[in-house]
Order: sequence, then C-alpha cells, then structure tokens
Amino acid sequence: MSSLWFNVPFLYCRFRMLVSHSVREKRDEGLVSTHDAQVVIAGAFRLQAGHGVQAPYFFNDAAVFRVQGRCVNESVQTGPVGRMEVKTTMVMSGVTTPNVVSLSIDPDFDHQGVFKTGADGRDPFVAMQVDTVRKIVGENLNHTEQEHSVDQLRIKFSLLQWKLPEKPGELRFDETSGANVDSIDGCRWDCERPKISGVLRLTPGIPAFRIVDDSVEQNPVPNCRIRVQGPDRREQEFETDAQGEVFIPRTGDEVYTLLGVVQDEAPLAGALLGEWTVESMPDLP
Amino acid sequence: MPNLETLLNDTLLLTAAPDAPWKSYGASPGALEAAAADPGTPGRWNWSHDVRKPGRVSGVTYHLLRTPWYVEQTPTVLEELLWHPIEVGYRGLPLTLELTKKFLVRKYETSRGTVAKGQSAHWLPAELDRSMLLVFGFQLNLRAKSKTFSLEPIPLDVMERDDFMPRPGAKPPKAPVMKVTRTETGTLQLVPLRVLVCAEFVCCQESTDYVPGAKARTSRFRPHLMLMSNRPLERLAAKISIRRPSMSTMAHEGLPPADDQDGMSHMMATGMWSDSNSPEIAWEKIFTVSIPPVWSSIFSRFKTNLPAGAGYLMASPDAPGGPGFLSHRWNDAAGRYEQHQEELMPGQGYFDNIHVAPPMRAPKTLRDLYPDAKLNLEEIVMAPFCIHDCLHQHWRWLPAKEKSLHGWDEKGPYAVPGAPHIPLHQHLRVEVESPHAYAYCVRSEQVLEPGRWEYILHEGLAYGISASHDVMGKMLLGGRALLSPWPSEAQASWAMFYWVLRYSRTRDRAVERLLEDGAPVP
Repeated sequence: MSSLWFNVPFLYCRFRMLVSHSVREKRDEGLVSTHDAQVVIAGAFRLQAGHGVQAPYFFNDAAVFRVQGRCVNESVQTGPVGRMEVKTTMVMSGVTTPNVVSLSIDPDFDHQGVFKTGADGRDPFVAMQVDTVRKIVGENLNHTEQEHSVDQLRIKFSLLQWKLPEKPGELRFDETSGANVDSIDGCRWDCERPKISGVLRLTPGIPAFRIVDDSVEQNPVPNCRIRVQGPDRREQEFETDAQGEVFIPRTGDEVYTLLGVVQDEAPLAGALLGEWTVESMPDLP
Repeated sequence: MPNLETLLNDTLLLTAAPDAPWKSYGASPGALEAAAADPGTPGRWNWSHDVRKPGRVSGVTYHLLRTPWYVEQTPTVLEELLWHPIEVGYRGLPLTLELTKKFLVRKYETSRGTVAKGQSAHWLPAELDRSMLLVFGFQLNLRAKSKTFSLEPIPLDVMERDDFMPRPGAKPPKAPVMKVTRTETGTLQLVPLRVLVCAEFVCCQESTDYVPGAKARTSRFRPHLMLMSNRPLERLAAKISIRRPSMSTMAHEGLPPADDQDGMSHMMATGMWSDSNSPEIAWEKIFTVSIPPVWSSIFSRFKTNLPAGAGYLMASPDAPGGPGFLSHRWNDAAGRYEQHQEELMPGQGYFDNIHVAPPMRAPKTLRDLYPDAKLNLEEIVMAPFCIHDCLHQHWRWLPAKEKSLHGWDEKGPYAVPGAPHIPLHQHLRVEVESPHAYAYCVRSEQVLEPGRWEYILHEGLAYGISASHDVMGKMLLGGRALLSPWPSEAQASWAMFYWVLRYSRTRDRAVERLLEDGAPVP
C-alpha cells in the first residue's frame, strides 16, 4: 500500500524521558525500604528516510541522549539486637553511546508506527557510578562498609502501536500515544512508568535556537522574542514556536549569534540567562 | 552556591533536629514520602495541621503541670494561627505567594531537638517540643502568555542543584557568547524568579530566657516565616493572624495557698505595653520586698481592653528614637500627675508587646465591701507577669543585660540592647482583630538581596507558665506594703497585687499610676 510518508525525506526529533518517583515500603516486620529516582534522558536528532518497499522507515544510526539524574535505594532492617542499613546511590551524568533510533510505519495496518531505540539487542547506555554503604549498628557491633563500582544504565525506549495520521505532519507523542514498556536500570519492575514526551517534525533542517527553562525537563518557552545577528551582521528578531524553537533557513557555513532575549514584559522580564549548550547534528550522508 | 538541603539547615527546626524526617509534596506527583515524618512522642504542646490547608495551625494547646495556682490541665493557647499570603514585588509585578498545598514541597516534623549554646547566631538555645517546618517553592511561569504572569511550583530537580539560590552578594553570571553554525542547535536556558518560603511552627520546652532576670518560666513558640529569592525583590508584605479562643479554657480549681477567693474573668482581653527605657529601671531591682514593679516605674505607655480595629506601628526604620512622647505618672505625695518625656530607642514604635489573657477579679469579699466604688475591682489586668493563661509577644524589650532580649542590628538578632526584635528595614504594624486575636503585619520597601533569608516574626511568642515561687513570694510581699490601707483579705490576693501595681487608691477611687494611653490628663 502506498503512503504519503514515503515522500518525507527527513524528520527532526526531540525526545525526553523523565523518571521521577519516590516510594517507601514497610515490607516485613522491622524492614523499611525506600526507592527514589530522578532521571532525565533527552535527545535531539534527525531521522533520515530509509524507506523499504512496503513501509516508510526513518532512522539515525548514531543518535545520542543526554542523561542526568540519580537513583537511591535504601533499606533499613531493625531488630532486637540492632539495625542494618544498606544505601545504594546510582548517579548518572553524560551522553549515551551512539545507537540506532528508528521509526517504522505500517501503511497496511492503520498506519501504526513503532518508534524505538536500539537494534539487534543493543541498547544505548551511559556510565553509572554506583556507591553502596552498608552499616550495622548494634549493642556489640558497629560496622560500616563502602563499595564503589561503575555500571551501565541502559536506555530502552519503544513506543508500539502508535497510530499515525496518513497525511504527514508534525507528530507529538507522550507515554499515552501507544503501548510502551519502558523502564530504566536502577528502577524496580513495578515502579511508576517514565513520562515521555517529544515531537517529530517534517523539517530537513534543525532549529538554530531553543529557549527553555532551566529545569531538568527543559520546558520550552514559547512566544519568546530573541535578537539574532546573522552572517551579514544584521540584527533580526525572531519568536520561538510552541516548542521553544526558532528555525532559520541555513545553507552555508554562516554563523548566527543569539544576542539576547527581549525582556520588556511579563513573564520574561527579569529572567536570568542561564546555561548555554550547543548540540551538533552533522549532515547525514 | 547552596541547594535546598543546605539552605534548610538555617531553619530553627533543622538547626535543632538536623535528622528530622520529612514528607515530600507538590511538584513531583509520584513522590509519596522520602522518609517517615513522625512527630514522635507527644510533648506538652499539641495542635492540628492539615496539609490541604497548610497555612493554618489550629487547636494549639499546652499541657500545664500543677502549680500552687492551678491544677494540672491542658488549656487552649491558640484557636488558630494563619499565615496569610505573602506579597512581594518584582520588577513592578505584584506577586502573591499563597501558602497552599500546590506550592508545598516538604513538611518536617519532630518532637525533640536541641539548639546548644553558641550553636547559632539566629536561634537561641532551646529544647524543642513538638515542632513543624513547611517548605514552599514558587517560581514565575516563563511559559505564561505574553504580558501575563503566574506562579508555579519550583521543580524538585532545580532545588537539588547547587546553584538553586545565589550566595548573598554574588553577581549574576555574565551571559555567554551564543553562536551556532548550520549543523548546530543552541539551547539557552532561562532562569525564572524563584522564592523559597519556610513556615516554621516550632514549640520549645519551658525556659526562663523570655524575661529579664530569668524571673519567669515560659514556653516559647515560634511561628515565623523565612523567605529567600534568587532575584532582588522590591517590596514585601506579610501578615500572620494569632487568634486565641474568646473565652479562656483554663480552670482555677484547686487550693491556691495565697487566696482561694481570687476570681478570673474567663473572657479574653488584649493589652499592649511599652517598656520604660530609663536606665534606673533594671528588672533585678523590681523583685525586692520594698520596691514592687508598679506600672509607672517599669512602663512608659499602655493600653488595655483594646477593641477590634485598633492598630499601631510598633517598629519602623523611620522611627528616629530620641526624645519621644509625654507620659503622665501619678505622684502620690503631691496628689497629681507629673509629665515625663520618654526617651525612645531608634526604630521603637508605639508599643513593645502585646498580652492576650483573661483578666482577674478581686476577691468577692472586697467587691462586696465596695459595691459602688470606682475601684475597678471586677477586671484586673495582669502585668508585668501573668500567673495564668497568658500569651505574650514582645517585639522589643527595655535595654536589658541578657543577649536573648537584645534586638537586631544590620547583621542579625540578639545584638543591640533596647532595639526592636525585627530586621532593621521592616515596618511592623499590629492590628487587633478582636479582643482575643491580632494580626502581625510586616512590610518592607527595601530591596531584598537575593540569596539572603528574610525573617518575619523572628522574635516568636511565649505562653506564660509561672514565675518561680521565690519570685512570686517576693513580689507579693512587695505589694503587701502598698495594700496596707486595704482590708487584710487584699494583702493575700494575687488579683489585688496586680491591682496595686496599676492603681493607687484615693478614697474610693482608683487612680492610674501611669495614665493610660489616650486618657484625658486630669
């Protein structure tokens, strides 16, 4: 079956996964365990068309995600002779190994899509610092052990049965867009599911600038006017779209400079300019 | 630069109980609890608090042990305490910080804790009873529609960062050079205005540090607010309502050794007093047999039975100090009032303290003896100490020796004898809401520096427990001499002791020793 998605050469994707929960359980008599996870996984990349004969397909072989957060598991067992505490802290901060992100669409089956990371059993991962402290406190014994190791945090994400429109257009998604069975290492199987959010846009280019807040979720700031200096040194004003992004048609090796944010009225008046980061997305072959 | 954990270490509760457990609320709906918030063993203080209305504490009681003047019991100290929304100004925007569950981040509770001597410049040594700390986080929503503004909770992850709040005096970082090429996307993060508010309801065990000379035992409670922002705030207005029950719940059964005929009017009444700044008035001199603490010697101004609607500016940076108002003291020998110009301390306002308590009544035998006389025997106000059910708040004391009674300088509290107990730039107004309730209203027009705590109602309040037997004995003996013209029943009466501190008797008429504020000068 034919699909208009065959005519789309590129998709620009921005993806975010947020893990944020705290759980406290009294398991048995005297045993209390807590689990606290605060992790954000974010990525922005282009997907290039690699359509098959039957199905539109978009992919990036070397997409990376920025990961930041921590998981803390703690258990305290209190008994008649003393108390044992085990606290494991997992801290992750960095960029994942390059790996595959793909979107496949089945035009014969209600245009359902599968959007996922990894391929052939390989998942992107990032290094995770693991520190464990074991304490035993009793009448006759006070003992503390510490252990450090480096482990891998695998980023597994798949959005299945995602019903896409037949006519190509901007696609927004979240954890309710399809079936997903995601979790991260460090969380328990029964933990609250991560929240995912993102957008796929039919644009060959990537945004020149994004304006976001400074939370780990990097919430986009829409309708934000910015002053930009182009390669001809001319100053222009742009306004961010609903995703906090500004697209400027760019063709050559020109450089654009963000001069500042227009802060003449609420709610932006007085906001501080915070961290500035640059993501590079080399041309796809 | 500090994160939330570091900042909260400055609170009174976490100074005294650094390991106090807490519950997490608000911005992360998945967050249930990070630890058991367990108030532990009930202490002398008790109250109710519902996180659905976090700005209110109700049913505050105190368990009194038996004394010679009353039986063991648990009277109601406050019907309720309300932290009203805080108003701040930011770049011309009027922002209202509502202490609601939406903005509640954490609630700490503990039933014990200790502030050791010398441990903190901001908190006096204390042993904590049941106490609570509420943490609220507000930020401007940068995603609000153009030309509008709204507040949203601060995300939890932001509060965990080391740059959550700037260090005091730190300059904002310089904007980076922000360039991108064709294959790059540049992301700029914007940092909104953020305000962190801590509301503490810290109750302390009995101590003697609330009055000069350690002459009385009180239990302090400190329902203060602490506020910090990451950007300069142009103004601040905060209001805390303190509401006692309309009737005292205290029972006076038992066998008072001095007088079993003293009465108590159970209806609450509110009075305000100013301490005399005269260097001759040292409190250690007033607990002698020969010199009882009559009002004309220790106070410069007072007003009793304040009606709803009365309000006064109690401290202000605009008050210069120096020669102040005229007081009128009764001269028994001359039989007339003498005029005195009171010397005021910088920042000192109209009154120094407020007391909400049920007045006493003279023994029935005396009231029956003078049924028609203008002796005011039916309603006798307790001061300077109260032997029953009195809520005190002092925002200034006379220049006393004790550091715990000194006021603020530009750096902090407990620094200047005789100075108001509030930050120098704050204007304090106290408004009477009813005969048993008042509002503590603070405003500041000074720009509040980012990263520095602003304290509101730092001085706290106290619930009177008792004076020591020795002190009471001396006071009563001192008063006896003044009561010699009265029948012998009067000399054993606490109510009459308080009466004689306030009044002199001229035939069948009571004469104020210090003319009440606003009264016509005879």
